[in-house]
Amino acid sequence: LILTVTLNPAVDHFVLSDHFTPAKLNRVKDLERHPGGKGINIAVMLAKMGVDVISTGFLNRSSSLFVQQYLRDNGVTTSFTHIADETRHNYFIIDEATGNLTVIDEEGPTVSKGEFNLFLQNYKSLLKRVNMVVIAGSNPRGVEDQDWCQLFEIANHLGVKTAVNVQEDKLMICLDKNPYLVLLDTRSSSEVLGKKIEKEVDQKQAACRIMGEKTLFSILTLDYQNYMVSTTEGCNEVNLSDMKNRNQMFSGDAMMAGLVYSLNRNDDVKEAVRWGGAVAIANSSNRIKFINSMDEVKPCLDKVSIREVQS
Amino acid sequence: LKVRDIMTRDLTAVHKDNTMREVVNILANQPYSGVPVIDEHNKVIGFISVKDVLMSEFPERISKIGTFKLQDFMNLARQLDYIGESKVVNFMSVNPITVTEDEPVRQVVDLVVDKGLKIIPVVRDGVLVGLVERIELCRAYMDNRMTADEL
Repeated sequence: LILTVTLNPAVDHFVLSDHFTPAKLNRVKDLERHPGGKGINIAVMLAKMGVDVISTGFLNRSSSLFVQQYLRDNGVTTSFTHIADETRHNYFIIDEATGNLTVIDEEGPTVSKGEFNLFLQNYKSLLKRVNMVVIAGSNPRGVEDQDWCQLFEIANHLGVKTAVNVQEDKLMICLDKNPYLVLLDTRSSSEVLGKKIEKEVDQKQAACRIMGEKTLFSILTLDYQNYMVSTTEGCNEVNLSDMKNRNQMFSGDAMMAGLVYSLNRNDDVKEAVRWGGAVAIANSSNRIKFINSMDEVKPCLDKVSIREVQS
Repeated sequence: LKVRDIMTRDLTAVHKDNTMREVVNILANQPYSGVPVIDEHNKVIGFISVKDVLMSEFPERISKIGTFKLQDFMNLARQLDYIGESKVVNFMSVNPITVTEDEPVRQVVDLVVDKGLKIIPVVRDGVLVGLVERIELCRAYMDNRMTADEL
């Protein structure tokens, strides 16, 4: 059983347009609404692969009916803490003619101390049911870094493995909490652990080795197709074929879902990376989100290449 | 049709250490009229409903006439200042009725009819795994997943 934490969930609106033009009246061709936030995305993909998964975090009452019903309909068990402030709404405007994507992200609600404490109480109970917790996505206002760190401390105390999807700004404090798996998106970072990195792959390899000294298992996202994987045994380059010119939204979440799926079966690191890559490739063939079943994932396992990097 | 086919896979609950003030906030922010009370092992040890909260203030009136007035709510708000820090275990229904995922839905229908229950916790080895809502029985019937005999 896996627990995913989404502290700042969203309702994602996907607006499909033929020719989206800013500052003009645009007719909507089609519109879809899905729950969003990294932890929720990962939970849905895990459930589609047949994993028992619980999703937790904060939801406002007005959004909770839609979000929770969607999750349950997709096989995810829900256990959210309800808050007074509004859940955020994000807008993804997809121009189908050009393939351009315009994203409008809302910051999200403010969580009070009382609401966070209620969440923590529930979180502790939920951890007693699971073998791994995935902590992913942004923090809402009111949840400070030290609050976020408590999620790792409690999981460590209860012997539950933590997997985290993190940006560079939170990497250091996260590594101090000994996470089991770290997925770091370096696409918009110029440094890793305070060391400036260039965009060349050899520089990324250096960053990967730095991570390798700090964690058991970490993955750096270089771009949608290329990843660096660091373990105690060394670095590996990972390439996903068949990703170009396809839907690249949520590929990081898909990668995490595949990794967690495989690690939950006690696979080794390379096998876990193969599954992560396969879910990312499978997910890229869907128009919006998510993969529909394991049948879409299995054929993609052969499209993941892993190459050991000599130090 | 089994309970697992109609249950809501939601673990909304309050913890035995929650105060009544926290319980009122939880009840106010979610769609159920009552929720299970669980212990540190996620086992269901009680049930607390909006009615239980109101009963804490007007037991006689509610048991006699089964309802309350606006003035009662205002009194309740004041009363919560007194009971707000008390633990939910002092106000919950103990020995709550629960069902398991493998039980036939017919069993739930009996409980709804005989006991007037609106929400029944679903447990596995005593641990909360979901809820059955009364409305889900109607939905199962409307969707032709359940026969009139079962209902």
